[in-house]
Amino acid sequence: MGKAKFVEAEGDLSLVPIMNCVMCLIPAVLAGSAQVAIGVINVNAPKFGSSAAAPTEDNDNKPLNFTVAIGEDGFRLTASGDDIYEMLKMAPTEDGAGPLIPKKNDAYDFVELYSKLVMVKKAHTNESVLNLTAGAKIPFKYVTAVMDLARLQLTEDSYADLDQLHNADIKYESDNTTPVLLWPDVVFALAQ
Amino acid sequence: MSEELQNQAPLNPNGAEGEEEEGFKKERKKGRFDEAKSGVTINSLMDAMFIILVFLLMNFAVDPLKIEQSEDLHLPASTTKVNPEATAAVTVTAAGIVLNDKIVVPVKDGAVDKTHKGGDEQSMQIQPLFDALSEEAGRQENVARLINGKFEGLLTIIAHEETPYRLITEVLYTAGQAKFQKFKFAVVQGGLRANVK
Repeated sequence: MGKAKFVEAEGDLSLVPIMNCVMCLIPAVLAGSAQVAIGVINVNAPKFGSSAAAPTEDNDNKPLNFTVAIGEDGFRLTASGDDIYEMLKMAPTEDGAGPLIPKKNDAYDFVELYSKLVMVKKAHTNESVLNLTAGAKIPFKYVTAVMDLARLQLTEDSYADLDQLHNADIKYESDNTTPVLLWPDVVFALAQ
Repeated sequence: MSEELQNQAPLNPNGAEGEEEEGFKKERKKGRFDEAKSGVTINSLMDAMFIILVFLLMNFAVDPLKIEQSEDLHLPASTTKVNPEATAAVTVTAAGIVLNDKIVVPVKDGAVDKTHKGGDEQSMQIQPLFDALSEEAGRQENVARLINGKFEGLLTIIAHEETPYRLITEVLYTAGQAKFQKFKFAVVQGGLRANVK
């Protein structure tokens, strides 16, 4: 009995394993919380109905009403305020639904879309509103990708491939601090 | 230097050196014994815990938007540099629409059941979400009135990247009917431009 008591008094709680665990937890907690940085994309209140604007008498002040529609087959561009085919130097399509940027290898052609966005912007430098619509089942990630692409102008007007587009630098105004905007005001539209 | 050593010599008279060494040996032995008895000190552990505590508190204080990503909620990546603000937030996951940590309406196969839209599948308004957002808007209006501020109608949408566009627009439409007019989409910063498959 006496011997047993002596052993108890000598025995001490070993904190080494706990300290090891804590030391492992510190980098895990730091890495886990620092990696996922959340940001936001601003959008305006959506408008519902036809994306085509009502005709106005004053053609000079008519809004461009530039719309990018994300469909299952690709991007379709329309603009009720100007001749979209002329702006994009394309032949009118038979269906008259507006120029289509078809998918390439079952993937959306963001490279071509960017060059078309720049062409329309150059024809209407005062416009900043882009109506964005998509098919009912198009995943949200494609919508955010188009918003990303349309927000800022890049150093070149067009790029050869997707890798170049990924790594392209943003174009800045002469003060070298203000980025040049492309189509920053995105309005969601849903044709009913 | 040699003078200094000579001056120090009388401090250690003959025989005293040996006694001192024995004393040190005893003390050292005693010290070893004490160390063995005391075990591991918890000071370093407490330091580590304190650092983690401060870090976690700072993290909670700085981030207005706390999002835990999962299989049902994976945010799209973006190149945006805009940081989130403290606003009301609607979360659209693959399993349901959440407001203030409560599932307002379930989602199945990327759509809300028509029973939650007044029986009309084509309706844009999700009734339970409208009720919850109207209540939230009313609360925010009351707070704005009390502090002589202005109700801004700002809403952050935290949506799963695979959410169909139709459901996103239904949520936006419903929020618009409940007086929310400005929207922000939560995304993961640091993504590549147009990098979706």
